[in-house]
Amino acid sequence: MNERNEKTADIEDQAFAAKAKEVFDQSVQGLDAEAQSRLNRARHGALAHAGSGVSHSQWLRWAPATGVAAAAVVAVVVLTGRPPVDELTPPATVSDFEILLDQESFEMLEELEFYSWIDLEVEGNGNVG
Amino acid sequence: MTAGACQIAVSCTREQITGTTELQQERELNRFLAEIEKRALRIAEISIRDRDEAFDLVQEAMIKLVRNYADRPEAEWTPLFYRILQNGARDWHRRQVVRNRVMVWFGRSSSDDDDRDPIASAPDPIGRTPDEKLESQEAMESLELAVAALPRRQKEAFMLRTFEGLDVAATAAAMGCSQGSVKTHYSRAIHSLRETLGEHWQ
Repeated sequence: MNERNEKTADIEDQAFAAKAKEVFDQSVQGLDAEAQSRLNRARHGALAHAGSGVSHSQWLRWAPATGVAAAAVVAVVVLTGRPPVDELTPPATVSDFEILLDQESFEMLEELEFYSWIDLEVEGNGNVG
Repeated sequence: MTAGACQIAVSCTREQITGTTELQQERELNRFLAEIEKRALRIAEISIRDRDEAFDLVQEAMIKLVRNYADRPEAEWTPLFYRILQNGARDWHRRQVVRNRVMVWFGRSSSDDDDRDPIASAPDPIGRTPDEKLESQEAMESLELAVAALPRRQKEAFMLRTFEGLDVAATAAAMGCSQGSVKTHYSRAIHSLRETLGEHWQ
């Protein structure tokens, strides 16, 4: 009896997976021309990287010191300054600092430089804009 | 033929072989990426719910695969590619958590500039009628929301097994876990999705 139930459940699971696959495939086939064009450019860009001498990670390793310094300033402000506005938001932790200094987060570092600038503007003028 | 001439001839032949091999490898990589890129984009989009960011993740995964793993056997490319993509999605989620904290700090919401329009206005590329297209879009939207709500490992196992069609071994390689874990995550994902979507979805 149990064996039959398990077989029935397996068949139903397989039917569900088949339906999910069908719906997913339709959404893939329905990608518009712009998306396909962007993917095409991304692929050719990636293949062009194959022959380039300096790797992305090496470039990130030599990221400008200003970005790291800005991240450090913001991290110190976030960790030691006034509490967040939203009481429900958990306070920033040391792990945030590690994420900020992660090589993969360079784009974030660039943005944090901007946030650092805003912070300095607020301290200098009392407001922004 | 002198010894010097022989050496030059051998050197030229070696360079030709190397050049031919690189060209062939590039062609194989191009074919592989062209085959996988659309599904990868949709899988990334379902993972992070943002198409522009999904494009970036897919391109980054392409670059890393080409740069670091082009010499590996072709059979390993798919699990390697998805492993890179999953790691990228995981890092993206971690950065979002930090970004949201910073946004809260400055009293801004990260969703302030979210102006994505989910309704495509262009004609359907595969020639479905508007009703068929709408029905399929609604089914996919329900599925996407349900998949997005799954725990991360269940989500990965389900998408790799069902959407990409990887077997258990390749899924385990892509997820960096045992085959037993893949089976458990996949089974739980299926049951959870069936319960969430209900009988009418099928």
